[in-house]
Parts: sequence; C-alpha cells; structure tokens
Amino acid sequence: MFLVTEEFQDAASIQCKALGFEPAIYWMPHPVQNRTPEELRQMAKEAAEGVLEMMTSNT
Amino acid sequence: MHFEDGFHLVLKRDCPTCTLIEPEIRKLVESGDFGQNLRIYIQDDPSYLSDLSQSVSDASLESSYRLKIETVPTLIRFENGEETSRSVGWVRKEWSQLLNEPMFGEHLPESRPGCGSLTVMPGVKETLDARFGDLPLNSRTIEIGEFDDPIEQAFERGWSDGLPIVPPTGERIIRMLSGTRRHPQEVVGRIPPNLTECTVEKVAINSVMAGCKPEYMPVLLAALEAALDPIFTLHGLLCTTCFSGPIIIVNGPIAEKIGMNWGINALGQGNRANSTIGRALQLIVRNVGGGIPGEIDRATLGYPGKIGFCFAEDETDSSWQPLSEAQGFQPGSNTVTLFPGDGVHGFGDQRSRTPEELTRSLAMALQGCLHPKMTECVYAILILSPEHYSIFRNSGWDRRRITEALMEATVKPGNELIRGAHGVGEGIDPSRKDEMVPKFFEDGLLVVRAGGPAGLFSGILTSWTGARHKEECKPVTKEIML
Amino acid sequence: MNQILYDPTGETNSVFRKPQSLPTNLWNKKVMLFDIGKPRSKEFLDYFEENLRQKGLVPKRAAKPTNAKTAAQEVIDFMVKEADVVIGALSD
Repeated sequence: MFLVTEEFQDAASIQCKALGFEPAIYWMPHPVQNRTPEELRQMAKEAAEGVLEMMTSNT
Repeated sequence: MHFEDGFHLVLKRDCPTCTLIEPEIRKLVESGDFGQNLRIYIQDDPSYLSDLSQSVSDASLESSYRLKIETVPTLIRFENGEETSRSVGWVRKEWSQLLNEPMFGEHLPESRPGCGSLTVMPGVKETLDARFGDLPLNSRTIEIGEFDDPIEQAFERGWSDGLPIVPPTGERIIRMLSGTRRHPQEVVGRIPPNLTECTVEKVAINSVMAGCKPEYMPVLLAALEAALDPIFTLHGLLCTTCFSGPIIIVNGPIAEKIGMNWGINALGQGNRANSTIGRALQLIVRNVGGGIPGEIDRATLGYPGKIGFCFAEDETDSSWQPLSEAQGFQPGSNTVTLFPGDGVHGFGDQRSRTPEELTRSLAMALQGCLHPKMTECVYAILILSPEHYSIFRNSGWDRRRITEALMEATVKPGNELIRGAHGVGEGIDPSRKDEMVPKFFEDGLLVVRAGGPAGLFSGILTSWTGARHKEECKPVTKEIML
Repeated sequence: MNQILYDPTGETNSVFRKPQSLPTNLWNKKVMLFDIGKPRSKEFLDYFEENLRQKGLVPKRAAKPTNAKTAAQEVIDFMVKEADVVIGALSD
C-alpha cells in the first residue's frame, strides 16, 4: 500500500488506470515539504494509526 | 481494380506526344478492329477525346496509379487478366508490334519521348499511395465526415497541446516517413508514464501534427531516444510539480541543413524547425505516453516552453568549442542534447567590460537557479550571447576557462546558505555552515552560445530538481543518425 | 468524401490486475517500509517506524534513491523476498 497526499488523488487514479493496478492507498494531508519536524511526527503518528485501522476494518 | 483483356492507353491533352499520335489513335478506333478492346484514360482534361466511346476520364488518377504509369503516352496490353507488354512514350516499332499493325504511325517520327504522368508530380504520389495503395501504416484509422473539421476533431479527442494541430492524414504521414530510413514499425522505445511502445510510425504521426518537415525526422528520433535514456529520467520529469520540460539543443551541420535558428530570437517564435521539433517530442509524450497536464503532469505552473523547446547552438565562431564536443563527440558531429529544464531566466549586464567582471556578474544570476540558498540540486545551462562571449573571447578565455571561473565564482560560505540564514527557511543543511559550498555539482554547469549579434543579454536555463540525485538524472547527448 | 485520420495515441488499455486483499492486521506479517525517494520521506518513515515499534511491530526498511524513477530490480526482489506487506511513502 502507499501513503499519498490528498492533492494527488486525481493523478493516482489516472496512473492506476493506465497501469492496470490499484493498490491500497492511505490519503494524507497536503503539503508535507514545509512541515516542521514536530508536525511531520504528528502526521506519521496519525498515519500509523490510520493504516492499522484500514487493515482491521478490512475483516 | 480489374483491367479487362485488351489495350489500355493513358494520355494527357497537355502532352505534345499524345496530341502527335492522336490522329493515329482515331484511325485505329475508326477501323473498328479495336472497338471493345481499347480503353483510353485521360488524366487531365475530361473533354479530350470525349467523342470516342473508348475514352474515360481518369481525373482521380486511380487507373493510372494502379497501372503504374510514369509517362504518357503509355500503351499496355493485358491478356488473361495479366499485363503482357507495354510501350512508354511513342516508339513506332514497339506500338506497331504491340498492336499487330505494321503500318501504324507510318507517317509519324520513329520515336518521341513522352511527358511525365500526373501520378509522379511532386506531392501527388503520397496522396495516391494514401488513397489507393497498401500503406505500411498500422495505426488505427479514424474516419470523419466530409464536412467535419479535422482540427476541431483533434481538439475534441484530446490530441492537442492546446494549439491547432496539422491533421494526420495518410499522405502527410507517408511524406513524413520519407524523412527517415527506419522502418515504420520499428519500436523506438516505451514512452512514460504509460510505458506504451512508440513506433517510428507514431513518431511520424505526431511529427505531422506538430508541423514538422520530413527532414526533421532524424533529429526528432535522436531526441526521443535521448529522452528515453534512463539517466534522463523522462518519467519523473513529466510527473513533476516543478516547471521543467525536455529542452533540445542541436549541434552539427544538420542544424543549418534543416534551417534551424541559433541567432536572433533563437529561443523565441518564428522558426519552423525550432518550433516544431520540440513540440513533436511533447506531443509524443502526451499522445503515446499519456503524459497529460492535470493528469499525470502535475506541474504547479509549468512554462510556455513545455509546448516545445528546441534550438541550435551557434557554431559560427571557430574560437568556441561546441557543446557536442564538450560532451565527448567528434568535431562536426550532428548531436542532440536533452536537458530537463525550466524557462529562460534573463540576464542583462551592459556595463561589465572585463571577463572577470562579467564572471562575477553572471555568478550572481546563476546563484539564483531554483533558489539562491539551494546548492548541488540542479544543473544549469548558460546561453552566452555573442556580445557577452566577445568579452571573454577578446581576453582569450575559452569554454573551459569560462566554466571553471563561473564554478569558482558560485562558491559561497555555508553560513549564508543554511536554512534560516537571512531569515529564510529554505537552504542547505545547517551542518554545512562552516563549509565553502559550490552552487553546482562538478559537471553541473554547461555553457552554449546562441543569440543575435547585438544585445548584452544572455540566458540561464535551470534544470529540474530531480537532478539533486546527480547519478540518477543527467542531461543526455546523442548522435543523430541520418 | 469522408476524411481519414491516423491515431497518434498509444492505442492501449491496460488489463486490470486485481491486487491481493489487505491483511486484517500486521502482527503476524513481515512489514517493509519503502522510502520512495522524495525529500523528507526518510524523516517521515523514521517517525512512522517509531510508531509501529511502539505498537510491537518490527518493520524492515527499503529505499530507492529518487522518486523520479522506479526501484531497481534488486530492491524489488528484496522487498518481495523479505515482506508480506510493503508500505510505500511519502508521495506528495
């Protein structure tokens, strides 16, 4: 699965269609590049929890 | 098309040899011997010999094409459905033997050459090939109505880069393919992002749409192959949020041969080769590869050169080593250099008089590539205009000395460049504050010459930031195979 | 007379490959964190890994040097061999 920021939903969808493959994607807030280390740490924490929840809700 | 057994004669009113033998043809018809066994095809004026029942108009040139006529008059005999003999032009002996009429044309000269058939006039052959021939084209055909506008159809189908395209008809594609010896079905490579196979035929179709001439094909094919070199990283370039697109720089005699511009307005509009070669490359990326702005192409702003950006280096000054040679090719080689670059950053200095002054001045501008506080993350091309180059040349500075001086002049103390310096968040790692930091990698600055003879203005092209991993993404120079 | 144009596109459509279902949890799975090579991906994955380790998972790491290219075959082979689940980050 991939972690992708929300701004790339269209691009991801089109690329998946073009390549004929659709992996699981966890969508994250955009942007990332200008986040402080503390903000990035918090985003990672939320993403970790979100990914685990995606798994368990897949039962 | 089936040709009946008997005689088939192809004529033009506008051919003196045809009109010379006309009386003999009439006598032959009046004799009654050839009535149903003679067919006369008139290429030009349908009223010529129209009083004869054997005469038909071949205004479409289909019969002439299928009979492979190159000269008129031509007389052909068919027996059992096959051509058994033919006479080209007027040769009395041949005609009388063919017709089995010993006295045919006895009062005419022994022989007269014919005239060119309309089927071999310039530009006609490709049209007839497209209409009646077995074209060596595999691409899907799209039939549109007689009154449909093919340019609008192309827009509606998403084939355009925003500008009108030249409709890709069979005859135009055949004509374009005449510009290369490569087989139309040869696969040039896989075009990202969809990694679709691109044949020479697809290159030709998109070249037609871009407005190229057939003689541009070798340049375009070389440019495409250079762009597909893994080290150029075309896929990353077209997906980026950065400005950049592929920039093509042409070296060698071919530039002049195909009429490229390296002089006044070299980077601007007005020159067909400059404007269309780059455009064709980008149309291939769009149409074959699926690299479409707003979809996979995520450029935040882009720039006008993403329609197409191609120019030739000025090699008219023998004191200057061209880019092709600097990239390791033999003098006089025809090459393309693909540079993953942004638009032009203009540089104007109308006061510096010495090479040292100009170097320091250029270094100030080069420092701004991408961001003044970012280092070793982009390549750059300095496009030196003739007037600026003359300042260097007049002091004996060559390419190597100019490049070395600029590299040295763009080294800055780390404490001016680190994140937070000057109250600006962007910058290099704070651990480098005590270093002297170069702006560019060791081979990160290329210099070319171009531009009009007047104007103390040069240009800087900054590369895509994918080049921050310098072993993963570089400009590529490739020889053009003619 | 109708006009004939020739298709300039790649004329292809990919055949859709159905991915495997996500596992229902990661605890009995070999987890690989794959750095796709964008700036700050490593930093993000360091924090992400820290979180997974706090929850008792022991992920491995793989990386490609630049986001601009697909991973080298050796990297792909490594991930195929060493992982049940690959989490790639961070695409922004």
